[in-house]
Amino acid sequence: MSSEPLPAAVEARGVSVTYGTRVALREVDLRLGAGERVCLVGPNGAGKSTLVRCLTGLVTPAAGSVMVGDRLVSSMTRSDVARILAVVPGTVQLPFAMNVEAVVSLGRTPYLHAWSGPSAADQAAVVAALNRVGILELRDRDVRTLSTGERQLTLIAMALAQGGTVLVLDEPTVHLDLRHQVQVMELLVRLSDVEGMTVLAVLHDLTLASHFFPRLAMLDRGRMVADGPTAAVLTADRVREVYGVEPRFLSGLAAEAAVVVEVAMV
Amino acid sequence: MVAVGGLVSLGIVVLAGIVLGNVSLPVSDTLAVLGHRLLGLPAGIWPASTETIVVELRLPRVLTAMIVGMGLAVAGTAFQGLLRNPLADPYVLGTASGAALGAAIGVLLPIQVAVLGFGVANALAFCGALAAVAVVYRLSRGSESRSSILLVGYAVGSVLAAGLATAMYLSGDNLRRIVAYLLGSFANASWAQVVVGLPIIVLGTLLILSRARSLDALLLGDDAAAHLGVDVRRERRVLLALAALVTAAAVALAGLIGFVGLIVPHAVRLVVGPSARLVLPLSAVLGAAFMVLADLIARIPGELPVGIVTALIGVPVFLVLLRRSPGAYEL
Amino acid sequence: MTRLDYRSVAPSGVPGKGSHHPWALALGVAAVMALAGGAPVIAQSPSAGVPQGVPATTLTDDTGTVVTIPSDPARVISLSPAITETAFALGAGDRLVGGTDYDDYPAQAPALPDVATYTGVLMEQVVALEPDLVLAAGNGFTPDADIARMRELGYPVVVLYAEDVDGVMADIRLIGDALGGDADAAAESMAADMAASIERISALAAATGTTPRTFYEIGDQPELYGPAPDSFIEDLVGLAGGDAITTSDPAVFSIPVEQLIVADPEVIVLGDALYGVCPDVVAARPGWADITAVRAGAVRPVNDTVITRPGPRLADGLASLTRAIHPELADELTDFPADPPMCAVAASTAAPSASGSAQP
Repeated sequence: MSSEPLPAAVEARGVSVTYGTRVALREVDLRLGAGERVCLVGPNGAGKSTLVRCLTGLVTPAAGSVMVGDRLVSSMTRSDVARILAVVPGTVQLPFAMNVEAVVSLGRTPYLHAWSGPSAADQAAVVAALNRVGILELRDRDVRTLSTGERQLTLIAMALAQGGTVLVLDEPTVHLDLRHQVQVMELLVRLSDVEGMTVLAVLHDLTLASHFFPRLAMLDRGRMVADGPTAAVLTADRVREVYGVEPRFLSGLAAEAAVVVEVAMV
Repeated sequence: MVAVGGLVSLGIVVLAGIVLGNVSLPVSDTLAVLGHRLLGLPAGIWPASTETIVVELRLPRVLTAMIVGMGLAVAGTAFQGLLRNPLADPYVLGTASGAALGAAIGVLLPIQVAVLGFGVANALAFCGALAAVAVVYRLSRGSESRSSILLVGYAVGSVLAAGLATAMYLSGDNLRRIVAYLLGSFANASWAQVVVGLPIIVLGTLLILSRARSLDALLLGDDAAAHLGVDVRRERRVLLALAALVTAAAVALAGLIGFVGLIVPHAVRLVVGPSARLVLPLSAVLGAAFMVLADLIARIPGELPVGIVTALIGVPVFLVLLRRSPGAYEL
Repeated sequence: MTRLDYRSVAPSGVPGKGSHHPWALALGVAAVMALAGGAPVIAQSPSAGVPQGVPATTLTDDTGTVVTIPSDPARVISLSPAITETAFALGAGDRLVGGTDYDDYPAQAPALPDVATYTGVLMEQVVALEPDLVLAAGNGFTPDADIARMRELGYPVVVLYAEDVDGVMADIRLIGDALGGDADAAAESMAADMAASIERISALAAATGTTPRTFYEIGDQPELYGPAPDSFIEDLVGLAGGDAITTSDPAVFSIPVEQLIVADPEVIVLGDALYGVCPDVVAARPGWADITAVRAGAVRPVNDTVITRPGPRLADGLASLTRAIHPELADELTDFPADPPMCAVAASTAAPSASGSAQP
């Protein structure tokens, strides 16, 4: 561990959000250092999506502040935010047929002007994004003919085309088969470890989270109840208390697996 | 390539619209008149009636058809993008019913005033269209779902249609005028109308064109668009207002002409894909050309309602295009 | 309280070399539109109605508009069958250059070039014929927008509309005045003759001493249509010696069947006989069997065209109507043309039982 904290890419301080009478977030702090890979976990209704929306500036908290880099998100235009921080949408329903390259090109929206089309730089960014994600050969395919995994990769490529340094994913593996879940996770590892991007993912699957993310932030009923190295956060007591289930922890070789399947012996 | 082809066909159709018509005029005379009045070429000998027909009747008519076709196609594209619904057209938010009711009231009022070629019916049609959209917008505010604005539009449109039916029932002899309005026509096109209508529609169209990137981003949904850097609330409001304004102006000029706003954008998308950046300007050109052509076909035999012609030509052409791209739409 | 916050987009950022297609396209569209925008420069205000040096007449048409027309128009367009008939009757048929597509009388009328259809005026045809006078029909028959447009284009338009029988004679005089020359004198004597005939017919009808309740049926699809109060037909029925049953409001032309049954006409005149509505059809209608007119067999077809057309044959029409209401006057009206044969059976001679007896 380095002695100095990494400069913050995104930081939420004391964020509180209320929807009507329901308190969604209660004085939540979350600091993402540059290049970190963090997973946000918690049961349904814990406030994970709300926190993500605060970080991206879609929701203005009733109390507290959110900073992107050294600027308050509330002082930035949407375009400014979009150039630094990209959110990968969970699912997307397109009313018209579009090919993969067209969807990824949408990621360049923050850079487009009213009258001119995409520039050479924009086009290059799109190709680069397709390459980084490894779907260049799919560029002319109609998005709706792709598998869910390939579609998710397309959306990640679109987010990467935004050219920012922070990538936020809200439940990226929900509809994916095992192979694609692993594929996406490995991509995220590459993006943060090799390319230095800051990655924040919201995941349900604790196994996947613990395998691929060195740091976990756990929300429960609007409060940040734990935030730190995965092993320290995922204790039996905490899982029992927050999730209401009895966990079993594997060690040794089994702990190296990304996917664990338990076969019940009859 | 596609753009050039589009502009060339527009040019051809416009020329045809001026040269052909209900009365056969010698082509050489027509071209000579145009040359004299537009390009300042020296005057030749031709009957005064020829000059009147070409300059006072056909030229403004063709121009009106161009701007109405352009406006409806662009507004249709905008509404389809805003509502993320391929079945949307410029009339989907109650505009048609509002305009029709306004026009019907205008026909029934005992006031006969015409300002700059626009009578009471035209003016009320314009106001009715805008008022309907404003009502729909206010009623659907606060709801995040896209389908709710469509449903509110349908509901408001139905109420207005009932009002229209009542007006028609009470109209007695004037029923014919109301029905004629509902079917759409360019027969009353005049320079006065062009001077007023053209700036509104052209300006509105250009402003919508400048917002193509917002329309494209909105295809992914409001949240995704916001994350892509679009001020969703403002862009939606501005695009809605512009599209409604252009539609209202088109309706005030020519009545309710259907199919253009729905089908032209789709035809263009089948060729160049859904990016609004391409679809908007190409729809403008194709919409203009199509409308001039439809009006030409409508007026040669003797004033068929142009709305019938747009349906008769537009729908089969569109179906043919659609069959060639089977995967294009998922509804 | 939180709020959703989508803030404005700043266009700052990396300026790119634009791809030129959409820009060029927008420019192209704008250029074409700019050319069109030169419109005001191109358009020239149309010339005034009557060219300089041509003797002109000024008259006031039936909308109260003061119109200046050439004193001896040589190329006249008629926009209604009544006007066409009148022009021919005044001996000015050779000066007509255009009519409507439903002109049917006299025999030469249908041959005139059609410049108006049911939907409106064919403006290009009007312009191509270069008329020096246009005679239009008021009350929306010729669309107001078309009248305005023709005036805008510089053609003198005289609008005619007769609200009652006296108005028809006034219009004939007005047409004569507009046409000028011999037509003017012819109109004067025609109007006087018509007034005299109408006077005579009306006196005969009054002398019968009876004023039967009369329903003039204008149409029956999709609803029953009859004369409105203060309408032209009501006026005619009164002159023909009938007590007209009217609708409830001057703006309304439909009459509910129940209202008619309560009014219980003694005579029903079938103005829609030309569309095939004959006495046997009427007698078969549910609920109609007990109406006095039906029981008495007093359901009579007439030639609606002659009766309701505000033209030179109005006196003939009134005679026809009077015969239908007061069949006893038939012998005294033989100097007016008889009706063309309509409806196979002459209803007035049918026995009451044949037209439907009352059923429990």
